[in-house]
Amino acid sequence: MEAAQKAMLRQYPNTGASPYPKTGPIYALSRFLFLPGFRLTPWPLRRRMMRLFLLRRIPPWPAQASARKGGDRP
Amino acid sequence: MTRIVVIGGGAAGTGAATMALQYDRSSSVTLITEFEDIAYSPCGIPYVFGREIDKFDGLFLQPLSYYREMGLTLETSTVVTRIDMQRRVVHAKERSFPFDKLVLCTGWEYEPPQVPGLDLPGVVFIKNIRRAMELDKQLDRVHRAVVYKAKPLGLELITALPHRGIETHLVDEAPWLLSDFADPDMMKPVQDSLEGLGVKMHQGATLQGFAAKDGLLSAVQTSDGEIPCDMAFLCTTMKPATELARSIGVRTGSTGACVVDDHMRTNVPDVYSAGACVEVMHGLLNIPVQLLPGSFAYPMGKLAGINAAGGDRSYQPVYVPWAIIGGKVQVGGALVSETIAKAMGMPYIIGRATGITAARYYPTHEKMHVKLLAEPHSHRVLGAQFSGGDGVKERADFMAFAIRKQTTLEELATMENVYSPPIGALNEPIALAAQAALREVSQK
Repeated sequence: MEAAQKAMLRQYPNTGASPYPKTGPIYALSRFLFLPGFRLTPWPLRRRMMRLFLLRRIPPWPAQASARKGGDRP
Repeated sequence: MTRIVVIGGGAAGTGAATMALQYDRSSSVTLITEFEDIAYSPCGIPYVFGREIDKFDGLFLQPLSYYREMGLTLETSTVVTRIDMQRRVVHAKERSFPFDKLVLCTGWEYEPPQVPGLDLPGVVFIKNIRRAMELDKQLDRVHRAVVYKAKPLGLELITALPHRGIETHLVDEAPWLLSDFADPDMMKPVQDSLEGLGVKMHQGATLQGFAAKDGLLSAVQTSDGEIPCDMAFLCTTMKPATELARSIGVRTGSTGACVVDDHMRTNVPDVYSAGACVEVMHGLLNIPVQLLPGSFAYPMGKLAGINAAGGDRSYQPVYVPWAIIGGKVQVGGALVSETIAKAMGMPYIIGRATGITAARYYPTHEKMHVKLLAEPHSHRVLGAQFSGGDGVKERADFMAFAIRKQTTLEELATMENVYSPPIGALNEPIALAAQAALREVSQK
């Protein structure tokens, strides 16, 4: 049964117990370091971290490709 | 005149005693219980704690006088010390009860965890309704409670206690709620709902002990750290209470419960047994199951009582429909779950669907997630699970019967259903799940 339960947790991730221990200095600091407790991170820090990791400047279209197609509009 | 003695006053014992008397009015039926009361629902206790049920009175089937007027001899607060099978006498302290037929309905008992601090005031077990009445008064002073183990009773407690404004923590080594017979994907909505109610879940945490301050419980010690609390409810593993049965040579099986045949007879002549202390066969898995709830214990007890009084009734193998409310989500099903199928090495295919419980334009409609398991070649349905809104219980009952009748996915895919806007949608979610399974099979 234990083997089957482990297999089920692999098959259905994020349905079981939290994989990390909730004790110790790392857990205490993770509230502020966004590691790995996303929901525990205060939202201003969470927003700054998300913008840092996920937002990228949109690359400009190549000027020649844009000119051949007559601009950006179809 | 047949003298029938029934030991145990729960659902099985009460059913056995009343039906034995109804079957043979000339028999003398004595019911012996160690508690002050008989015939009440311990499963309802959490709902009184949570104030969803007003009073404990509602949990009693009937008052004691009802059974006495019926002709039963009730011996409450009487502990059986030994049974003399030679002389056919049940001995209690200073009393003895001769019998011709004996029905053992001794129920279950908790297996306390082996941790320090178990006898601290504030560390409680839920079983006896009188004790529950005392605890209910103490709950007014409880701000934080810990429930150990999300067995069905534990799940009811963590749903009910937040209603009373008590900060509730669940500690359970199991990887998810009801992991013995439910799948994690179907229990996830329940977990989310409970967390939404403010329940703090400490799953995967091991109970290590109980801390005290001034002689009273102050915290529960777990591998996740200490959880300060005023009361700890231990809904630990239950085991069938078979000490009396074993003392007279009743055989117990692989589950530890008494072995009975389809007439509830044990291997000892003229001794019957029923309820949580017996094991019965699962109709599909062909393995014994035990500790079944009241809806099984009561008919088992009635059948044992009838047969003890001279009847000839037989009990069918079980298919175990189950359902419970966790948080605001109803969840239920009929065995076999995907986890159990994996554990037993049974091949299966899955059909999933999400339907609705009423017409989509009706304001109270809710989602109904369905998961069906079926045998890959014959498409015979092996199990089902549901989670969502109203109707889980009815669907679980229906699927247990359908599995008993060896229903196939094809039959479910074309099942008829009620369409009535407040109570039934156009498409039955079970049919949708069966259709999804067949579609997947045809595409392979």
